Amino acid sequence: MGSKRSTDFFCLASAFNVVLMLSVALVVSVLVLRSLPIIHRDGVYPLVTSVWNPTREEYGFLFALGGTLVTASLALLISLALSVGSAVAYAEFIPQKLRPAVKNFMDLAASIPSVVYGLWGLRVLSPFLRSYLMEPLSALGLSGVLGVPSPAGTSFLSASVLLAIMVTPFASSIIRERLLAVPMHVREALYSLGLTKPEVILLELRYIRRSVLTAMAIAFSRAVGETAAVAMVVGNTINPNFFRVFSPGYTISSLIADQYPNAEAYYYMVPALFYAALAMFAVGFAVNVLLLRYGERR
Amino acid sequence: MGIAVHVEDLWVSIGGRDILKGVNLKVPRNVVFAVMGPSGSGKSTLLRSINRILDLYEGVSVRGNVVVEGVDVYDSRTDPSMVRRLVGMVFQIPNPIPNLSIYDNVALGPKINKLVKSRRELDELVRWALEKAYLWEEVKDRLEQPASKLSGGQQQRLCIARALAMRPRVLMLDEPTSNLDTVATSEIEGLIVELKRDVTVLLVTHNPFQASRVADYVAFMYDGQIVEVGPTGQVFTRPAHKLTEKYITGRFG
Repeated sequence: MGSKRSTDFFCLASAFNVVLMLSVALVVSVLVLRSLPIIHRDGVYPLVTSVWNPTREEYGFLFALGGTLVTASLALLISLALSVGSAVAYAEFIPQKLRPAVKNFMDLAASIPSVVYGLWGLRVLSPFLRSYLMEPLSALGLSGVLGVPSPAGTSFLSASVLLAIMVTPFASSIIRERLLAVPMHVREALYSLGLTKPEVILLELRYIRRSVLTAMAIAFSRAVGETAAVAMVVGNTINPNFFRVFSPGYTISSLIADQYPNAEAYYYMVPALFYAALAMFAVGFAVNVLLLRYGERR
Repeated sequence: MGIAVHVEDLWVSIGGRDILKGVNLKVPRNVVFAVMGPSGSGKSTLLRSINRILDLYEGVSVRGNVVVEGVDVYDSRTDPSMVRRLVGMVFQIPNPIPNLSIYDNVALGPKINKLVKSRRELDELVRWALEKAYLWEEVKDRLEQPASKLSGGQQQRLCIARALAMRPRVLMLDEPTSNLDTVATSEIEGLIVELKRDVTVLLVTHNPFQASRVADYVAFMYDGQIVEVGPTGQVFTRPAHKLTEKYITGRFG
């Protein structure tokens, strides 16, 4: 077996791995331990009810769990279109000379702090979506299904669109790199059969679908956990009808950010917020596992 | 006997460098026509300009005429994918689509280009193409397996079947045996000779002996130009050009 240096490297790498796994275990155990009081008192009740009444020590956070799932899923769908579209545009239509500029711009977009996205979302995106999407559709009578827009336009929908814009640079770069890595001889084979460019692109996307799913899993995790920007545009209102995406509401992370400062004043609010965090972690983890499993299966 | 491929004063440059410098070529129908020459002489570029696969690369400029079975390849009204349906191509590296099954590799082209009306017709076409490529007996029981499981020689025959399934008029092979062992090479060579009954075969090779074994006509290419063309026997026994003689006697290349 290898030299002393390679054994050293092996030990070091293993040590890092152990540290990484321990820290994940530590985070999860803190979440569990801190939420034990309310789990002990209410069981799964907080997960399935939407009554949030701290003065009576009632903490059902289904409205926020639903809000998180709705905004993250909607963001995932929008971002799927945006990131696949931009990756295809980059790999197939943008001339070689312009690529570095476009790539730098995308990387720059990924490095904008989320609070900046939040400000832009609050002052530009939400009012824009309100005036040009939510109001017209509500006028068509859809407000019964999709909810009534708030005056500022803060809503689940605004949060979803903002999240989609935020996660697209990451998701898109994964898809883009894989698309560029499709071997030239495979592309030549496809074109030599008389396929047109759109047909070849669709087959290439099928060829790299595992990476697309990975990109979406990462996008979903980020969307579920994103706090600052979402807290600024989602409206922070207790709204059990989280499928009414035009209306404002809460996500778990915005609920925690919004409520934690006063949580110490109550007996069970801190455990309730930890419980909510645990639920969010579980959802994000489950979706990730599902997406990655699905990618591996075929 | 008509002309399948007619190349007239073809100039191709890539990234500002001239690769083809006024190539003229007439390929008769239903023969094996070999273009031989050393590496870098422009043989592959010549093939890639005939079916416009060259369009996939950046910085390419083409001047001159190519006519395939009456179709003016570089006419602005000509759809490149139509040209590619007319001209099948087999590449130097066997390149089955890695995530597709053996069956799907052959069926892909006919399916997307809607050459068949029913699943039964498609099955028959796939079988026909695999039989033509002498692969059917070896794969008929495992058509659903990934193409990447096949050996190199089998993969190359699969690529030939894939090209044939499009029912092309011309089949171009770009050094199809350069990545194969001697057994697989002689199988492919035998196949090439058989194929000329159905299609015109245009073969590029850097191996003059391969050209002499399979071709009816040969062209010798050097530095972006055709040095000499003629019936194989004539070129190999009485080369008109000193350079050709040096090449076929193995003194360079």
